[in-house]
Amino acid sequence: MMRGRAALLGLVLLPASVMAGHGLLNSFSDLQWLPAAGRTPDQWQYRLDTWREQAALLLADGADAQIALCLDYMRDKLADTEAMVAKQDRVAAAVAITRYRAYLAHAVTLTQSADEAGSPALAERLGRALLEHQYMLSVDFPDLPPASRAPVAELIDEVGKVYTTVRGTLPRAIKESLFFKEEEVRWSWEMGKRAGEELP
Amino acid sequence: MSGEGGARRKRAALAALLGAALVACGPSAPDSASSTAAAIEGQPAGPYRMRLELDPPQPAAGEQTRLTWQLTHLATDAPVEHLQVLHERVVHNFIVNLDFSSFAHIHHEDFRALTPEDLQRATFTLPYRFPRAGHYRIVSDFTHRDRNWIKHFDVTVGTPPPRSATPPADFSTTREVDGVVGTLSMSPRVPVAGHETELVLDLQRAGAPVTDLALILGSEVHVAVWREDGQHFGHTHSYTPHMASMLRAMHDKGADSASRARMMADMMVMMMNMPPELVFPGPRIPVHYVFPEPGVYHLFLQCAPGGAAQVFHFAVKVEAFRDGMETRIESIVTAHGATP
Repeated sequence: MMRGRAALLGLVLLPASVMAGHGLLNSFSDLQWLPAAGRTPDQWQYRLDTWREQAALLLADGADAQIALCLDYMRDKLADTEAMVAKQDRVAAAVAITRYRAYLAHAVTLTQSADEAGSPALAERLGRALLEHQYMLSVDFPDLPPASRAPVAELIDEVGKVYTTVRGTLPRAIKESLFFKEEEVRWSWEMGKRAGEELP
Repeated sequence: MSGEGGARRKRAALAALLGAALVACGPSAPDSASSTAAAIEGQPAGPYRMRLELDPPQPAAGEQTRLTWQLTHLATDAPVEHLQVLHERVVHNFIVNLDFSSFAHIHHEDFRALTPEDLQRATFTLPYRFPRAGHYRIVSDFTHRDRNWIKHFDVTVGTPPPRSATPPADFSTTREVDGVVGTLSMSPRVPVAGHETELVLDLQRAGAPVTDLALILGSEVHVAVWREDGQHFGHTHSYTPHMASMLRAMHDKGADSASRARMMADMMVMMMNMPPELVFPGPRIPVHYVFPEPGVYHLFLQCAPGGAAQVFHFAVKVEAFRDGMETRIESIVTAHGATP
């Protein structure tokens, strides 16, 4: 308890020179942001897109190619989710989130079923992507309409839990190298929630 | 074996049929962010859009070029208001020739004060002379809602020399600039990607330690970092005992992650308004940095011995972690409240 207070006091006294995204909180400075939403779940062709994605996944040769597709589709679904939440279309947002979950589950299965040599690389790729997803959603969260953004908050927490599971399968060296990214995600989500409370 | 192969063939045929049937529908086409003919759009994308206009649009080496940035929200294209002043400036711009032969850290306010209209339009401008023909990268760094953002722009000046003409990185750890000798040391000795590195700049003048460092834009040192391919830009400052306390708290396994996140957020909000403080008068200035990926990085350390701004340029090689590598830091900085 005392140690926690001392740490907090130390943080409060920090000069305005060190952490404002500079130096140690720069893990995502070259992040490729979410794409603009394409066809969204409120359009009838969305189902056709889903079929096309599933066909491409079936045709993809090997776990590497499949996980690359899953990660691409997951980014698309996050963009669709944000677009639908912004439009306050809860039903369509739920469809996009369901698709995201499906590709996430597929990616997790791929990491678990890969052979011993390939599994850590796949898990690292997925883990890094999950950190990026949480980070981007947490940044965008305050600008989404308060009335419809609750599913995004739930999704961030859900992705965080899956990340924790995936992280558990990573070699120690990789885990350690992700430390600052993990901290930045936590900080970012905390800042996102606070900004969300302040903005109209 | 043959049963599995048959199933696979059947699955592939089914998928091909389905794929062919869906091809006619075409992939959905996302709206791509487009640049106007005269403006370069900053990368990476994100919730903000930053455009840079050059006048003239094709800059010539040694000639004055006017650089004008405008910052808008991606979603609405409205100017971004309430930008925060960090280190005494609203937007920090770093301009580097990608052969790393020149470097500038430059701001609108270096030439004239920002007006309320400038801020309302989120428009910033300054004159610059690109020193020679080449491929340049400009990085603009701003803070909004307590978050720091960067956008980069690539500009070609004149007819650049071929890449093969770029001299290899010089890994010397000592540089002399205007009679001041700067020596860079690192802990761990070999920086490891994803792990902290402590960089210490030790300054000497005429064989004596420099002890008259002045603050420059609110810090003892501004460090701009690029990997040699121009990627992974970073901007950092001196590593103070308060910062060491922060890092200690981040690594505190006793605190749960939610508490750590709240503490970090509390600190971020409070520190934005704190006055600058000279912690290191010299000769040594410590900096902590996490190099995100392996590779050769160029570091430009800008400091002001005796109040005169000088830039020390170093190159360092960052390795990917391998078993047995040393990642522990022998720091010259003691956290507040810690036993030295």
